[in-house]
Amino acid sequence: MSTTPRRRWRRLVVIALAVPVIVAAAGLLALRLFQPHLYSGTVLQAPEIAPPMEGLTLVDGSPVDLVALQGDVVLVYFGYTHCPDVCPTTLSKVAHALDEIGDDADRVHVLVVTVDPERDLPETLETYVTSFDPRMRGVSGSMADTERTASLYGVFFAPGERLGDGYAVDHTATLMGIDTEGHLRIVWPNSLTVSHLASDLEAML
Amino acid sequence: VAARVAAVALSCLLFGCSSEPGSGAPGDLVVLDAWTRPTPPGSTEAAVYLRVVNGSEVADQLVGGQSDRCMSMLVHETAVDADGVSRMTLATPSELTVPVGGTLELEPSGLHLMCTGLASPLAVGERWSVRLEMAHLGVIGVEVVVEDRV
Repeated sequence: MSTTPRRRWRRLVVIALAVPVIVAAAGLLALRLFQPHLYSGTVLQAPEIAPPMEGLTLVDGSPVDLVALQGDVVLVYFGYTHCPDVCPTTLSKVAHALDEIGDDADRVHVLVVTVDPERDLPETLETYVTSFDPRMRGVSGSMADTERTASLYGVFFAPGERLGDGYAVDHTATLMGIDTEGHLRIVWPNSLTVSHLASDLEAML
Repeated sequence: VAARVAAVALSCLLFGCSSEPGSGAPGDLVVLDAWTRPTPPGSTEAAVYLRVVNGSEVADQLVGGQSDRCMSMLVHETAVDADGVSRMTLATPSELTVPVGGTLELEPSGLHLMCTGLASPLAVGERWSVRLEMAHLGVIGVEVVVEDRV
C-alpha cells in the first residue's frame, strides 16, 4: 500500500516537531547529569587534608581520628553550650539536613568542638550536641589544644562580653565540610539553609 | 483605663495571653509569634524570638522581660561579621525602639530575649509565660511556644 501525499506530509510535520523536542530534552538531561553541583558554601580552591585535632577527644576520651573517617563526609563546627542563639540555629539546621538526606546521613559525621573548654565538660557538651541529633559528637580538649586546632581551621574565638552571671564567647560561626577524601573542602556561613546544606551533603557523598 | 487594664488582665487569666496573630485589636501594640527552641538537658539559657508590631499611636521601646522560668531576661544582639565571627552583646535601647506603624523583630542570628538562669528545660510543644516590659505601655503578657524551628 502506498502512502498518500497527505499522510506523508503529516508524518513530516510530526518528525519536524518531535526532533527538536527530543534534542532539547536530551540536552537538558545531559546538563543536569554533567553540570557540576553548585555549592551554597564557599568551596576551597586548593583543599588540603583537614588538620588533625591533636589532643582533642570525644566524650569517651578517645582521640578524634579524621583519617579513619575518610570515605565519609565530616562536618566540623566550633561552638559552646552556653551559646543560646547562633550555635543552636546552625546545629538545628544541620540536624534537619541530616533528616532530609535519609540513610545517606549514615555517611556523615558531625563533630562539634567546644571553644569554651573551661565551662563545657565533655559530658555536658555531649548531652548538648546529641539533643540536636543523636548522631552528633562533642569534641573537647585543653585550652591550648583547642586554640591550636581552631587556628588550624581558621577559627577565631575569644571570651566576649560579660552577660548576666556568665560570659559570651565570640567565635567564628561557620560550618566546615571535610570531603570523602579527607580534604577540608567547604565553608558554609551561618546563614545557610537546610535544603542547601542537604543538597551540598548529597553532592559531597 | 483601669477598667481596660483589668479587662485585659482578666482575659489573660481566663484565656491566657495569646501571642497568636490577630490577638490584638487594631490600634494596639501586639506581640506576635513568640517562640523558643527546646533546650538541651542541663542548659540554663534560652533565646526567645518574637515580633512586636506597633499599631498604636505612640512609639515604644522593648526594655526586657521577666518570667518565673528565668532569673533574668535581657535583649541581646548577635552580630556576625564578614569573617563569620559571631559576637553577642547587650542590645542598645535605640535598636529596641518600635516606631508607630513599625515592627521590631527578634529572630535567630539577630536580636533575642535572653533567658538566663533557666530553672527547668523547655520541651517541644510546651507553652510558657513571659512578661515583656515596654518603656511606654508597661508590661505585656506573652505566651511563648517551644518549637523545633529552623
